[in-house]
Amino acid sequence: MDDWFAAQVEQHGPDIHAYLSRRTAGGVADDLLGDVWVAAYGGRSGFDPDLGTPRAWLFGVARHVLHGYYRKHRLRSTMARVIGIDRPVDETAAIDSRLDAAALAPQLRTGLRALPAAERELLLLVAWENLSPTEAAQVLGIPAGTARSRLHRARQRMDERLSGSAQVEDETTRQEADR
Amino acid sequence: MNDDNWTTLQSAGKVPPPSPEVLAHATQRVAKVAAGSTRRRTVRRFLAPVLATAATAAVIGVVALQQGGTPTALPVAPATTPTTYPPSKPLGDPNVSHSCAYPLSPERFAKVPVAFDGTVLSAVKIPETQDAGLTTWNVTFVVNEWFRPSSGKQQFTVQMGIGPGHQVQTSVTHGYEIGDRLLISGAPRTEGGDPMDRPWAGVCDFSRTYDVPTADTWRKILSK
Repeated sequence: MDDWFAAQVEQHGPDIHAYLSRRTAGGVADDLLGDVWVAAYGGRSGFDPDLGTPRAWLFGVARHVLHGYYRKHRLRSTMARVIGIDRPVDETAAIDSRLDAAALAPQLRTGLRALPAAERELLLLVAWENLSPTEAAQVLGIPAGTARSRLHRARQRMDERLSGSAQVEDETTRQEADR
Repeated sequence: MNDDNWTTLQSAGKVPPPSPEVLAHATQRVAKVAAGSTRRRTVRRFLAPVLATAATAAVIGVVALQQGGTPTALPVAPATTPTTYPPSKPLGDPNVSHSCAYPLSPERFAKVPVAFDGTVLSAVKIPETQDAGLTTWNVTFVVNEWFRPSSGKQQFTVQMGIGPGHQVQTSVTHGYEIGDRLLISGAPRTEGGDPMDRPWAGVCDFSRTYDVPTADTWRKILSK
């Protein structure tokens, strides 16, 4: 393993593991981290520093590994459900469990769930992984401008939903006070 | 989103950091791959000229024999058929076994309710049922030996998530074909169900291709 790659492994290991942990359950991230390094090592000649940072590139590899994991395990998960063991069947389900467990404000959770999948993924890459919109664009393989406008739209939708919820809450409180 | 909501969202994504062992294990995996690829490159570099020389010599030899007109014996297939089996391999992908609902531990193996050595007689795809996307096969075996229970039918059917010829919905490293000899471990299809009523097999269990040492091990462990 060359020094450059070893340095990336050391520097970004915790962040990539955190990304995988947020989107899986039951210690799966521990195994997937090795898969990410092996995949990245195999594809390291495809990394172009002119197109983005090593960090964003590694998150992109991790995203592919994660999608591959859920594709491969669709049958296993279905069978696990059949025999009565509940496991997340995809990334969205794993994130939903996390949001539930975090006891997030209900309107925030509902708002996130209502976002289109592409906007939600982008929003969480920025919020949870601390990626810049440009880095997140590289992870998702979309132009940076598209990522910025998509992120803006996602935050706007969340604002609308949250302020809508606040209005409903205010109205309910007022009605209760009137009684 | 205001700052408060943004901060709340960020805090919902907090996860504990990985242990140094986890990071080290992942690093070791890629280090092994890297070492392997270096070795393969070295071997290729060494073997390429050797093979090229051998091929050239073979061509020259054949041409010389043909030109000489000397009758030569044609190569014949070995008279004996192999009596050994290739080393046993899991039917499912061992790299993803961690995803199973439970670890494939020796303790778990000792408790499997159904296990036998069988030869695949037929495999019939079951139409998708209530679980969208779930495709399974009824696979019937001629049982060569029952490990658990100690005796049973000579022909036995299990339900598998793997079809013949690598027909799968999940990745499989070693599938099977009709006529293959396999070691099958099964579990009831429903919790508390009859393990002998077409049990699940081949996914998230110990099922694998047959070889003599592995069959001996199964016999030894499962006869207890």
